Amino acid sequence: MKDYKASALITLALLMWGWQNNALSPAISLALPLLIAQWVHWRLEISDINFNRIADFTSVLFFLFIVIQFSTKSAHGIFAILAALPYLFYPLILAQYLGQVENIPLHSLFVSMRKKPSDKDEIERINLNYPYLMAVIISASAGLKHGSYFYICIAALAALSLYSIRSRRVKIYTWITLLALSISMGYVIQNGLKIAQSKFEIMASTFIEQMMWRNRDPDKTRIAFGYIGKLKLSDQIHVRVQSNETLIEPLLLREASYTSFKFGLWINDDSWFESVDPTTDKEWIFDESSATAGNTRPEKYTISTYFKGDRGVIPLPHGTYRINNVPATEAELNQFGAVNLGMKPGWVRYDAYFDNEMLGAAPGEADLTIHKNYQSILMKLANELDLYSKTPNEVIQTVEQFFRENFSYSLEQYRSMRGKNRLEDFLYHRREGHCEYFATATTLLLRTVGIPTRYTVGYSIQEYSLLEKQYIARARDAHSWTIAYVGDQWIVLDNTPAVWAPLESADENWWQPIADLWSWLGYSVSIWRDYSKDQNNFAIQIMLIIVIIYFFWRLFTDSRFIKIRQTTALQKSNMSVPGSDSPLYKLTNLLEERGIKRLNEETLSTWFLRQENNYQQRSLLTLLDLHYRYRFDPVGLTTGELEEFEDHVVRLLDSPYPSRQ
Amino acid sequence: MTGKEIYQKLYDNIGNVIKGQSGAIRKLLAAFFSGGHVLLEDVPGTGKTTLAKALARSIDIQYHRIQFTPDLLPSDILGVSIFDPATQTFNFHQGPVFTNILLADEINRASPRTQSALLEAMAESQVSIDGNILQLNKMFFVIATQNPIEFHGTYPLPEAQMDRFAMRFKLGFVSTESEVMILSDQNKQHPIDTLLPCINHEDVLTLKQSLHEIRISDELKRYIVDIIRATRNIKGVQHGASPRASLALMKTAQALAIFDGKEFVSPDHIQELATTVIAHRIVLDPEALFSGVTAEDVVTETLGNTPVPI
Amino acid sequence: MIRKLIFRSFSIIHRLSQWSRKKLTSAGTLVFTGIIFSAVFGIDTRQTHSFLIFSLLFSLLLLSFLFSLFFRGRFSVQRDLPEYCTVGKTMQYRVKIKNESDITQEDLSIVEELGCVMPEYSEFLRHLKLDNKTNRFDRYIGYPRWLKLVQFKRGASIKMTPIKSIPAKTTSSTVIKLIPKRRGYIHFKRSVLLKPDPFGLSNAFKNITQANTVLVLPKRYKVPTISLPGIRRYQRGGVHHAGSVGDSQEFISLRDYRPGDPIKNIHWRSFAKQSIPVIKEYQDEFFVRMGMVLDTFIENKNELLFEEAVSVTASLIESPSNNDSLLDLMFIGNEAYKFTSDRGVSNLNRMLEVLACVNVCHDKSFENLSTLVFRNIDSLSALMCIFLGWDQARQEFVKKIRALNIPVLVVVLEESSEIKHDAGPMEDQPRRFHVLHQNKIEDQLQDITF
Repeated sequence: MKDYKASALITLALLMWGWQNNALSPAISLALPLLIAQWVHWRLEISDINFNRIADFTSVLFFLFIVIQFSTKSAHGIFAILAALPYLFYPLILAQYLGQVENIPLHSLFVSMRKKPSDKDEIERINLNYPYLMAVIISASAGLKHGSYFYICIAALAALSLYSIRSRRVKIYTWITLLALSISMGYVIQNGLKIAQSKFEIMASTFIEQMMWRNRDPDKTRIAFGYIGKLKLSDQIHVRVQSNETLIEPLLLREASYTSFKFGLWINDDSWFESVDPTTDKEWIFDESSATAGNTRPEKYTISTYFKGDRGVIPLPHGTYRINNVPATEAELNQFGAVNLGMKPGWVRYDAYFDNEMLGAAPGEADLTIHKNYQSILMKLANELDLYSKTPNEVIQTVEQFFRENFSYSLEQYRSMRGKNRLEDFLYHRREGHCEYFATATTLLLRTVGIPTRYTVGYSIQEYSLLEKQYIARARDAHSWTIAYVGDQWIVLDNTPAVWAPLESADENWWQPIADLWSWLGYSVSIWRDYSKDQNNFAIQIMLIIVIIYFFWRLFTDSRFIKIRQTTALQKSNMSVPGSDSPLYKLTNLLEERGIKRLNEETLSTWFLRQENNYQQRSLLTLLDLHYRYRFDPVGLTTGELEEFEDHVVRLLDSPYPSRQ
Repeated sequence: MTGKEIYQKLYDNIGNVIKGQSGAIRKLLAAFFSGGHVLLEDVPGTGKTTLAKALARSIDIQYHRIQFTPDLLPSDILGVSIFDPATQTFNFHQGPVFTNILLADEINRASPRTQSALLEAMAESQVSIDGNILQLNKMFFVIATQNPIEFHGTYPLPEAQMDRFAMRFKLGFVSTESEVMILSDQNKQHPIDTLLPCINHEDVLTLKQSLHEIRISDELKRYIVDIIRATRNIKGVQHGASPRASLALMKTAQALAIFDGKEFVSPDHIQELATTVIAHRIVLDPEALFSGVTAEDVVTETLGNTPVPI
Repeated sequence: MIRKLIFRSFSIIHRLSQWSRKKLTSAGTLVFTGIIFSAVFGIDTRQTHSFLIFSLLFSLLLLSFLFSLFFRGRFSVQRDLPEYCTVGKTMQYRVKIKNESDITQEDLSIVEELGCVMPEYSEFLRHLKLDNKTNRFDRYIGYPRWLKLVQFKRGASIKMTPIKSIPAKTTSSTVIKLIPKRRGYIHFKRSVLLKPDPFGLSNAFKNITQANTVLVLPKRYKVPTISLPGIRRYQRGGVHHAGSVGDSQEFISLRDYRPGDPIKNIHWRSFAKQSIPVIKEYQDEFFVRMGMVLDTFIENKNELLFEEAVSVTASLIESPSNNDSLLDLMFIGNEAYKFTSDRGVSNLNRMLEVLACVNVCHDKSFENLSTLVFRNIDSLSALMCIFLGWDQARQEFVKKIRALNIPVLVVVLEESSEIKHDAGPMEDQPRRFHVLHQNKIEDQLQDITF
C-alpha cells in the first residue's frame, strides 16, 4: 500500500535538510528514488533476511562513519554525524520503498531480537517512514541557517504530519487551537533555552581551564613550580617524527625560546612576530642563506603536531631553515626562532629541513639579565663552582658535571614555598627536580659568567613506535633545556639527568597500546584527509563503490521483480451489476465523507439507521426504498419512478445538511 | 388477504401468548412458511412447547407432541401395524408423525435409531412401514428441541443430520419487563387455553404460494452463495455449509420479504437470517472447539468479510 | 548482591515500560524519541538548531499529556471466554464493551490486563539455569529472561486491540487473540480502555475491573491408538454406576423374544402393540478399566521435564483408544482421582482439567504413590505409567504390578538422550517400555507401538 502522504512529508523534510546544510542537490537525489518508487508498478521482492542484511550493511557504514568522525574531530564529530543522518539511514528506507511494503521486520534493526524462525509469535514490524522523517528533520538542524525560518518550517512539517494522523472525531477547531498553542509554547521555550545557555556559559567560563592540550604561548611559559604532589603529564601523543635515519640520541625539537625569568615565569618582554611569505604554495623559507647553500642531501624530518585551534607554534629542529609540504595559510617567525603557523585544526604535518645553524637572533641584553631575586643564590653557586675563572667551554663542562654528579630527577614536589626559595631549595637542599628546574638553573647559572642563554621548551623525541614506523613524543615528553651562545653560535645544553624519560614511562598504563592505536588511526585519517586529497581519495571511492555493488548484487540475486497487478473489486466478476448508476450513490459518497463510515458488511439500511442527529432520516429511508427496488428487484423501476428518484436525491443534496457535531 | 397481513395476524396472535420473543417468532414463521424445520436448542422452561402450541392453535391445524425418551422406539413415532384378530389383517395405526405440527421434545434423549426414524420422515415426507409407503401431510412442520445442559446419557444429533433443519436458534430468557408481563398474564389462567385460530389452512397455502413469486436478483443469489462458500474456507472449520444451506437461506429470506410486504429480497433479509440458517451446519475441528471458537463466530466472521451489495 | 539489587529494580522497570506502552501511541513514542535525540544534539544551542525541534516536540507532547488527563464516559466490559484452551494454541474470545454514556466513543483501544504474581529472587535464579540460549550479558543481568518468566507466570501476553466506534448506549465487540504459554488458570484482572488525545500522541486511560478466569489445558501431542488387552473385569452397575455401588442394569434396546429369555424382561407395552413378545435387552458392562499413574516426584530434575510428562499424560488420555477400555482412574502424586465412568467427552475434559493444575512434589517420594495405587488395584485392568526416572523404587513398583497379572505400559522421561535405561522388569515386553527424551517427545511419541 502506498503512503503518499508520508513520502511527500519526507520529500519536504529532505528539501529542508538540503537547504540548511547546503546540500540541495544531494537532497533531491535522495528524494527522487523514493518518489519514483511510489509511482511505478514494479516491486522488488525483499525477504526478511534481506532486510536483515541491509540493516547490517547500514550499521557497518554507520559505525565506520562514526569512527572516522570521532577520531578526526573528537567531540565535534558528532555534528558531522548529525548532518549525515539522511545518508546513513537511506538504504533502509529505500529498501522499504523498493519492496513496496508497508513496514519492515523490527528484528532487522535489532540483532538481539533475531530469533530462530521456528518461533510462532507474530513478527513485529515497523514502518520506517515516520522514523526516517524524524531523523531527517533532526538532521536538518545541523545546519545553522536562519533560525526563525527553520522554526517555521519544522512547525509546518509537524502540522502536516499531525494532520495526516488526525482522527475524524477531533473537531478541526480544537485541533488548530491546540496546534497553535503548542507552536507558540515551543517558540517561548526555545527562546528561554537560548537565554539559559548564555547565562550558563558565563558562569562556566570562569571555571574552565585548558589542561588537556598545552598550547604553547610564545610569549610566556609558566614553570610548574608551585604544584604540590607528583607532576604527571599524560601519555597522549603530541608529536610524530619521521626520520630516514635512526636517532642515536634523543632529538630535541624546539617550540619556543624565552629570555627573562621573573616570578617563576620565563617570558619574552619584547617579542614580535614577522610574517614570512611562502615561496610556493606550501613552502616557507626562514633562513635564505641556508636554503641557498645547495645541499645535495638535505637533512629533514617529517614532523606532525596537533593543532587545537587555527594557529600554533610548531616544534622544529633548532637549525630549521625551510619547511615544506604543509598547506598552511600563513607562517610567522619571531626573533627567538619560534615559528607560528596558521592552519585549520587537526594534525599538521610538515617537512623541516635543517642544518647546524640555529634559527634565532643574536643575543641581546636580556639574554644576560638575572632578576635580582635570584642573583645572590646564583652568584654564590658560581663562586662555589669557581666558574668565574674558567673559559666558557670549561664553564659549560663544569656546570654539566655539577648537575650530573649531584642531582637526580624527580617529578615530586613536597613543600610549598615561594619561587626564589624553591630555586635555592633545588640547588642546595633537595638536589632533585624535573627538567624545568635543570633548564632554569643552567640558563641562569651561565648568565652569571656572562654567557648569553635562553630557556627553550619543546619535545624530546626518543620513543620509536613500531606500529607507526616513526618516532613519537607524548605529553610527558615535553622538555625544557638551555641554549647558550658560545663561540658565535647558539648551542644546545641539556642538563636534565638522562634517566628522566625512562622514569616517566615507567608508569605507563596497560591500555596504552590501545590508546596509541586509536591515536594513530585518528592521525592517519586526518592526514589522509588533509594531505592527500588527490590519489587516495580515488582509491577509497573505488573501494566504496565495489562494496555497494556487492551488497546490491546479493540483494538482487535473492529477490525478484514482481509486477503489481491492479485489480479493482468490480472487475473480478463478469457480471455487470444492475443499478450501479443509482442516484443514491451520490448521497452515500457525501455521507461517507461527512459522517460515520460504512463497515464492510453493513447494508445501507443498517448504516443509515446508525446516522445520528439526522432529521432527514425519513427522507433517506424513502430514498433507500427506491434504491433497493432499483438494485435488487429484477423488475426494477419504471422510468418515471427513476426520474422521481433522481429529483428527490438532488433536492436532498441541495438542502442544508446539518454538519457533524 | 395479502401475505403481509396474514403474517401480521399470525404474529400478533402468537404474541398474545409468547411475550418478549418477537425475533424468535419471526424466525419461526419464516421457517414455517418456507417449508423448513426448526431446531430449538434451549434450557427448559423458556416456552418452547407453548410456542409450538400457539402456532398450531392460531392456524387451527393438527398438533402433536412427542417426548423423546431413551426407550422410545421408531414405531412409537411412525406408527405400528397391529394385528386385528377379527379381520385377520394387520391394521396400520398412524404414529404421531402424521400431523401438521410436530413438537419433538428433547430429541437428543432418544437412541440414534429412533432419531433417524424421525429425521428420515422429515427428509422424505413419507414413511415406509411393512413395505407400505405412506405420505405425510403436505403441511408438515417439525419443531425439535435439544436441552444443552444434560450431556449425560444423551445422544446428540449427528452433524450430518443437523443439515435437515432449516434453522437453529434459541429462545432464551426474556427481558425483565416481559417476564413481569408473563406473570401478570398467567395469573389466572394460561393464555394458550383461550387462544383462537386467526387464519385458516387456505391462508397458509396462499402465503406459501406467494412465496414462490418473490423475486430475488442474481446478485443477491450470488451473495448468498458467496457467504456459504466462504464458510468452507475458514480456519478451524472441518466442514462448511452445503448447498442445502444456500437453498434454505434463500427461501427463508423470501419469507421475510413477504412479511415485510416487499416483492423482492433485500440484503438485510439475508443478513438477518444468515447465522440461524448456517451456524448449525458447520462442523468445527476439535482444535477450534478447544480454543473457544463457536460456529456463530464463524458465520459472523464470514458476514464481516463478505462485501454486501449496496 | 548487586544482582539482587538489579533484580529488585526489574519490577519497577517493567511497570514503567508497561505504563509507557499504554500511555504513548506509536506516534507519541516517535515524538518522545525525537525529544531525546534533539535534546542530545541540541545541548549547545549555538552548534545546531536541534533545540528548536526539541522545544516544539516538547510542547506538543506536553499539551498532549495534559489533554489525555480527561476521559469522559462510563463503560462496562464483558468477556465471552471459552471454558478451556490449550498451551501454545491461539485462543480467541469476544469482548463486549458497552458504552453507557450519552456520546459516541470513537478511536478506542482495549488492553486486557492479566493478573500475575511477581517472581521471587530464588525462583528467578532457578529459571535462569534452565534456559541457556542467550548471551552472557543477558545471563548476568537477566532482564529479558525475567520478562519471559513474568509472561510465563501470567500465562499469556495480549496485544492492544482497537475497537470500532461505539455509539451511545450500545455495545460493540471485538475478537481478541492470545496464545497461552503455560497450563493452569489465566486470570483476567481488568480491561483498560485507551483513548488518544487530539494530536494522537498519548492515551487517556479508563480502568474497568472485570475478573474472569480461563483454564489452560496442557499441550497435547498426537499419539497412535493404544490398546492394552487386559482382562475385562465385571463392572457392577453398568456404565452409569461403574464408579459407585448399585445393582441396576443398563437397558439397551428392545428385541424380539427368543425362546429361553426370562419372562421378567418382557416389555409388555410393546407386546400389546405387536403380537409377539418383546424382550427388554440389558447389558452387563464388562470393560477394561485403565488407570494412569503420573509421577510428580521430581527430586532434582528440571521442571520442564515435568511439564513434558504432563503433556505426555494428556496426549495419552486424549488419544483415540479402544472403545472397550475406559480410562478414568488417575494417580497423581499423592492423590487418586476417580472420574465417574461415562463414555462421553465430559470425562476427558475433567481429566484434562486435573492435569492442567497438577504441581510437582518436592518433598515426598515415590513410595507414597505406590501405596496409593495398590489400595485401588482391584478395579484396575491395566495401568499406564508416566515416570520421571527409572530407579529402583519404580522398577519394584512395576514388578509388583506385573506380578498381579496386570498389563503395564511404562513411559520414562529423561532429560538427555545419553541416559539409557535397561528395561528391567519390562524386559520381556519391550514394546510396552519406552524412554522418551525431553526435546524429542513429539517425534518419539509418533513411533510408539504397542
